Parts: sequence; C-alpha cells; structure tokens
Amino acid sequence: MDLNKDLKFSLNPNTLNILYRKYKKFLLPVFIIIACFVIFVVIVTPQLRALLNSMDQGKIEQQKLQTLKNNYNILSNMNEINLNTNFQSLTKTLPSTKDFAGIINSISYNSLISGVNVGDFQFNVGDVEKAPVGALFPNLQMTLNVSGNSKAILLFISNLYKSVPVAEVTNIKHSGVSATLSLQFYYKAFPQDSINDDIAISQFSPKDLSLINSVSSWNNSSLNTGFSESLPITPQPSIQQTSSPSANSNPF
Amino acid sequence: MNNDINLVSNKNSQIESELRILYILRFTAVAMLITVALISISIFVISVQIPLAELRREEDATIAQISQMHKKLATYYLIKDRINNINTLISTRKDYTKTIKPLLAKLSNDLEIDDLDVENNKIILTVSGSSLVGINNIINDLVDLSSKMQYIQNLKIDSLNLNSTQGDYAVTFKADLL
Repeated sequence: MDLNKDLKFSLNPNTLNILYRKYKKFLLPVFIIIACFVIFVVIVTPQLRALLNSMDQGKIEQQKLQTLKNNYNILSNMNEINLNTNFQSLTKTLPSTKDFAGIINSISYNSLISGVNVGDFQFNVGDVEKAPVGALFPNLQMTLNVSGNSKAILLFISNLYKSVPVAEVTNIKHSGVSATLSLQFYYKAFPQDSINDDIAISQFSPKDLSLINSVSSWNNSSLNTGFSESLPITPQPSIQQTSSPSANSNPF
Repeated sequence: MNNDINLVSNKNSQIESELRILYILRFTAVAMLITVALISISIFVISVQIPLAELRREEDATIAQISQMHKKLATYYLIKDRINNINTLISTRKDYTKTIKPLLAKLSNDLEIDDLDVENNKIILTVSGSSLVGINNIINDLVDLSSKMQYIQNLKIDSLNLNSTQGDYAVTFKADLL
C-alpha cells in the first residue's frame, strides 16, 4: 500500500511552514548562488567589457602619442627656409591658379634659347576650378604659332617640358618653317582639407628630394637674369624666307 | 516472511542525501562568492593601471607644441601635395619629342621635312628630296623601326609623288607613335 500516492498536496500556511522548517538550511546557499550569478551577469561582465575597451583605447592613445611626438621631432628638425624655398619652387612648377605671366615668360624665354620666333597665340580659358573632360588636372590650353627649323621647334618643345609651369604639347602641325602647337599648361588649387595633427608625417623621401631638385633646375624664366619681368612677344608680320636652300634641309 | 514489513527505517539514507546536497550547495555558493570577488578586484586593479588620463594630458601638451609650428606643418602638407601632383603629371603627360627626334635623325641631308603632324599619338610625316636613294633609305629605316616596334608601329606609306616641275620626290608616312 503506497500512502504517498493517495495524499493530496494543498498550499496553505501550515504546509509552507513545514516546508520552510524542513528546507531552510538550503535557502541561504541557493540565494547566494543566484545572487552571484546575477552579479556576474549584470555587473562583472560589463566591467570586463569596459576594461577590454579601456585597454584597446590605451593602446590607441599610446600610438597616437607616439605619432604626435614623432611629428613634433620631424617638424622641429625641418629647416623652415628650405621648406619655403621648396614650396616656392614647386608652386611655380604647378601653380595653384592660372599663371598667365609664368606661361608667357616660359614661352618667351624658351623661344629665345631655342631660336624660334613666336607668332600669334591664343588662350582657351575654361572652367576655373574643374579639369576639362578627360584631363587629370585643370589646365590652360593655348594655340601657339612659332617659326623656325624643325630642330629649333623640337628644341623649343623639349625646353618647354623642362620649364615652369609644367606643360604638355598635345598637337604639332609643322609645315615648312612654321608650326602650330597646341599646349596645355597645368595648374591645381591647393587642397582645402583641414590639417590633422595626429596623422604621421615623415621626412621627404629620396624620390621626393630628387623631384624637388629636378624641378628646381628647370628653366624658371623669372629667376634668370633679364627675365624678371614678362617679355613682350613680338608677332612676326610675315615669315622671313631665306634664300639658302639649306635652311629647310634636315638638320638631323 | 512478509516482504512488506521492513523493520529497518530508510530515513538515514534520505538524510544522508540531503546532507550531501546541502554540502554541495554550500561549497558552490562559497566558491562563486570568492570567484566573483576575485574577478571584480582584478578588474579594478587592472583598470586603475591604465593611464588613459595621463596619456591624454601628454597628447594635449604635444599638440600644443605642434600648433606653434603650424605654418611649417601646413607648408609640409602643401609641398607633399605638389610633389604628388607633379609626379602624376610628369608620368602621364606625353612627350612627343622623345619619339620624333629619333625618327627625324634617320633623315639624310638630302631630304627636307615638308610637313609634320602629330596628334593623339599619330604622326603624319612628309619628306621630300631630289634623289630616290634618300627616299628609299628613309622608307627602309622607318619600316625597320616599325617592324621592331621602336618608336612607331603600324607604319603606312600614304603617298609617293613626283613633282616633275621641281624634280622632287615626296613621300608621306603615317604611323602610330609608341
């Protein structure tokens, strides 16, 4: 006979009192276990996450501080006069705006040292800031008539490529002793982005210094004696025909 | 013997199991208490050792020093900008003289350049001379260059004319510049 089966369980104060007296030894440990679990989930886990974030943040700040210190050291060691000189040289090579005076000086100077006569020219003034369609950089396009033998004209073009501002010849139409050249003189506005102190800077690389030296040695008509101001270009009324047949002969 | 009557009470085994459970619960509770306490203290100690505030103070001090050289920094960035742009320009712009000069160097002294037209990497060259020998030589030289893909390719002879009045031969070439 199983007595337990036939007993009905009823929840009343007396039953609860009996259960409490019977199992009260278990209450405290169970309560502590539950409390520890809740504390671990609610408090300790977020603290751990915050600690890991702090450690990551600490590494980032340490790196940032190191970068700032390196930047400060590099800037301190830079010669301001050299910086300004290089800046002037590079800005003459690639001006920030259309440098009409520089262009005319370049053409004048190179025509004299190449032995060509410069005739008519015209500028195509396009958009001030945007590059023409298909071009990487904004540029000032011009069409230039020159006269001279083939060697002189090619020398003129070669010298233009080593002059400031930086130029490109896109079209050559040479016939007899005259030629029409299509030129592009490039310029580019300075960047408008704000300077971020914590971006790492470095000394100029050998490649950078090589470029600076190279463009510094280019024909800078404004630096050469006698070319401190722009020269007037005298358009030739007519192309002078020489009597010597060797004038048109191949100088190559 | 009646198997339903058990004179030995089974209350002892029940009490033993309850005591075992109580012991396990108490042990677990103490262990968890100690673990949570240890973890919290460790987190506190480690977080105190991370000197975030001091790092930020040092950063501010260094930024203040750098801001006194702001002009130098600005000049440096502008120089870098110009260098990058000039490098791009120099590497991408076309210099036709580098290919035209070697071509024109092949012309003998008895030949004259009548026309030279260069546009979009294409060249049209017209030369004239009184002797077919010079004309023949320049044709051979240019064909040789084109076949070896030196300076030019896709060379075509557009025309070969005789100006009977002046006694001059003129030949026009078309080619793609490399």
